[in-house]
Amino acid sequence: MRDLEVINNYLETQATKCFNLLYSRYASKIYGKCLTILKDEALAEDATQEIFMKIFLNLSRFEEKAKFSTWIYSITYNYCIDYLRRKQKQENVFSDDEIEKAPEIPDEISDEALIEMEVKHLKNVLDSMPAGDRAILLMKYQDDMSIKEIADTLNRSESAIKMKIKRAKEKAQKLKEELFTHN
Amino acid sequence: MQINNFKRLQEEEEIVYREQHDEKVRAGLLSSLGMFRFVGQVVDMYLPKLFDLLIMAAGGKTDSSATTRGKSIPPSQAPEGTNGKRRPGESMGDDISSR
Repeated sequence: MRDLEVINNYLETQATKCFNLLYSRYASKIYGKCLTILKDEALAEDATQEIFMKIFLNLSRFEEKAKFSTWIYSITYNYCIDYLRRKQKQENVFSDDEIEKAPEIPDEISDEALIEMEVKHLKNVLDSMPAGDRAILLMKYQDDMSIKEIADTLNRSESAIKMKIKRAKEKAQKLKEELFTHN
Repeated sequence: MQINNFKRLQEEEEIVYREQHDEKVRAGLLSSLGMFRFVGQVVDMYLPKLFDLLIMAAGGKTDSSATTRGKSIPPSQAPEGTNGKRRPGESMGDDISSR
């Protein structure tokens, strides 16, 4: 059954089997993202529960403009970013004032260099990066979100997102060299 | 097929979630959603009555006291075989459009 059919069915009947179906499809993915961004299992578990509550209480507001997965991942990323903002009392997890004005420079690090990094190394590299960079790399390489979808999710311009991805890739590459080259 | 270790990382985290966290989060969610549904039903059931009560306390006339909602039809006026009982949603037989 497609996501949309399950959603409509849930909205009509509130059936637990529809809840279970959506939960089984997405809970583990949401948890994985929360864990990567928040870096704490207990926090990620609580976040997964709260994000799912948000999703189910706002299910009727889901519009078919985007894929359901994109919609729930947007909720997930925004929840985690807001949480970190509140916790760190930090205005910008995505500090991109300068990025908005920066000229477009071609990407020097290939996608392959990043996505073919050993899983263990990738995990360490992501853990060492700022939360905003982690989130943006997950959106691009794990969720296959387009630049426009990422820009819409984070409420930024597409050029700012391109620049942010470029810088995050550079940071990841640099961290990989620092952490693993001499081993 | 191109390797994407971001996806592999996700798969590993999914396995950990299913083994260690799935049941706890699912149970917590079902309980919270059940609570929300219960509160919603209570509000649905009693909020209109509360409004009626406030209106009556202010000296007004409420819908429920002004209409014949909920009343049964005397058997003498009921269609044959129904014994005056209405099914849910069935009108009393008056076509208000013809008035």
